[in-house]
Amino acid sequence: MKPFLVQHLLDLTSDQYPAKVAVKHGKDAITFEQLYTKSCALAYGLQKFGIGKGERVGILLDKSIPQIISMLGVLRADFIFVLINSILKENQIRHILNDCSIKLIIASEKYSARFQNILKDTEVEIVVWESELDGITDTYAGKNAQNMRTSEDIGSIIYTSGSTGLPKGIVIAHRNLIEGARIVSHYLSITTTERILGLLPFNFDYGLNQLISTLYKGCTIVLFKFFMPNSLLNILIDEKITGLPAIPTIWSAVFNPQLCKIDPAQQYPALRYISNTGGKLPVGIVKKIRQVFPTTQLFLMYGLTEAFRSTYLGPGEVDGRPDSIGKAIPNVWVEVINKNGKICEAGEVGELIHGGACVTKGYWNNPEMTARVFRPNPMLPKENQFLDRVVYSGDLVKKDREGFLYYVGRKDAMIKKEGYRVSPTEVEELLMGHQDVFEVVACGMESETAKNEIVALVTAKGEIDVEELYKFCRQKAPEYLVPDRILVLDQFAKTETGKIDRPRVIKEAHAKFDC
Amino acid sequence: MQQVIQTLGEYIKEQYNAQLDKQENIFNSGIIDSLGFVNLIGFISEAFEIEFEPEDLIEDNFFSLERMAQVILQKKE
Repeated sequence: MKPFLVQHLLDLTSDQYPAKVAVKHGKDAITFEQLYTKSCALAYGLQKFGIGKGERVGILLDKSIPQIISMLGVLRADFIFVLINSILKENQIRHILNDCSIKLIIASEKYSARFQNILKDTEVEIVVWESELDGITDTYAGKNAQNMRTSEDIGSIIYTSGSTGLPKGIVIAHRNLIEGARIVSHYLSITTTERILGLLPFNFDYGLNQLISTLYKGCTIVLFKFFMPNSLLNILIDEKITGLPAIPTIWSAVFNPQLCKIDPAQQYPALRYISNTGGKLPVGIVKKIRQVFPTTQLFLMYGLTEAFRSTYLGPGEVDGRPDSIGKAIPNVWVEVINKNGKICEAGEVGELIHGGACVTKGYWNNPEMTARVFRPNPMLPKENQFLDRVVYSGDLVKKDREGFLYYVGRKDAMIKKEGYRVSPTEVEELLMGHQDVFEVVACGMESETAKNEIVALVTAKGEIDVEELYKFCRQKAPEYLVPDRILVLDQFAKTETGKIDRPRVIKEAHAKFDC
Repeated sequence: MQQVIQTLGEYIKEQYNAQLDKQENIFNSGIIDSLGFVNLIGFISEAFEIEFEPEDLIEDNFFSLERMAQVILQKKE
């Protein structure tokens, strides 16, 4: 009957390829069998803490082998893993812990000082430190936990930027994770010989997808933290990487001549495919990727965490229509619908909706927002639409006569930046926290490079120091929320009822600052 | 040297509300990501009036405050 839970993928590959390296991280490596044994022992140890099935377990560890063992151990113990990114600030981490009532957390010692402040106002009862993990897996070596889950049970909650100003939790079932891995592995033709670069974080749906695909196919994932584009190009060679999944920011750094030196003679013979997700790649960057990696297949993907993975444009189409996001992936359907809920004609802009195997469960703790985004399937007969749920993406797209999709923009004002979806409200609330700020309008603007920038338009109560505002933002918020540009205006245009006239403010700023 | 390290330390404190020992590995600190790193490089270029070549931008030159200070002083010569 296997596999119907994520850990079953590992059970199977561990039987088939016990001595093969599953994860490599710098000098460290772990085989499938070791990963199996350790995650089983950890699961047994975690169940001893006596928290109930389906409890959420926080993981505040860097992308690493212990982090992967922890995720798998949590799943095997019939718990739900919630990854917490260390660059988040105290108030965001506290919100995540409280939002899904985390009682047990696995954390790295290096965050202990920061953690003391956070834990006070949470329900966390048990902290398992990273250094204790080996002790647990040694003590319970050979043991395994009892599994009582089904594929519809929740495997993980991924927290992403939310429109209320705090991260929101997207609830993902085992089935979503397994289907996502099967589908993506299929169209990327991933085989057991693949060496995938684990560049993206696992609290990002596509990053997580690479890990699950590795477990599914029995290939190897090489973990890598991106800081310097030169090092990225080097590791491709040194580790004979065959699959490189990346996001637009990484490419804008690689192709920035001030940051990275590209040797035109360098070849990447091992590199079989590159995939992009997390935002549209500008056509200029697509062409540069094709020049530097002429023998590598380029897949342009699109997805959103609520529907996990959605569409892709295959390598055969990239040169012909580099600005397209392609068509639906297997076992998933997408459709473009207009305001009246009717399917759009070719060329007509409408909202992209997603159905099929990757539709997730909804938002944790938030029935209202879940009802807004996860709606009855409008493709079914009217009285029976309730039988299926689809995701209303909020992304505006159009399709051409051959059915290829093109991203146009957001229906709401969400800003896509560095693979994050940033809500303007979140940026506005951040800046409103500063004593000298009177009003704020935040919006996204595309810059010449691949970057979609966050621009914050501000009016002041009196004197205002813009540099001081940048500093303030960096202190209070993770980097992706910090505006790329803060522009001070004398006053904002207002509507008849005295509210800020956002479209006009943004339009006037465009004219005034030539942006 | 001490002064350069101090300036860098203050920047980290100000931007990330975190203390780094001068030999602590910044890439493993978990406080900074690649975006923050680009900003740090920008700060160094401006504050110390140096221009980095793309070849300079490797982890070996930036792994700790002390190492950054060494590289900054070398570039100043």
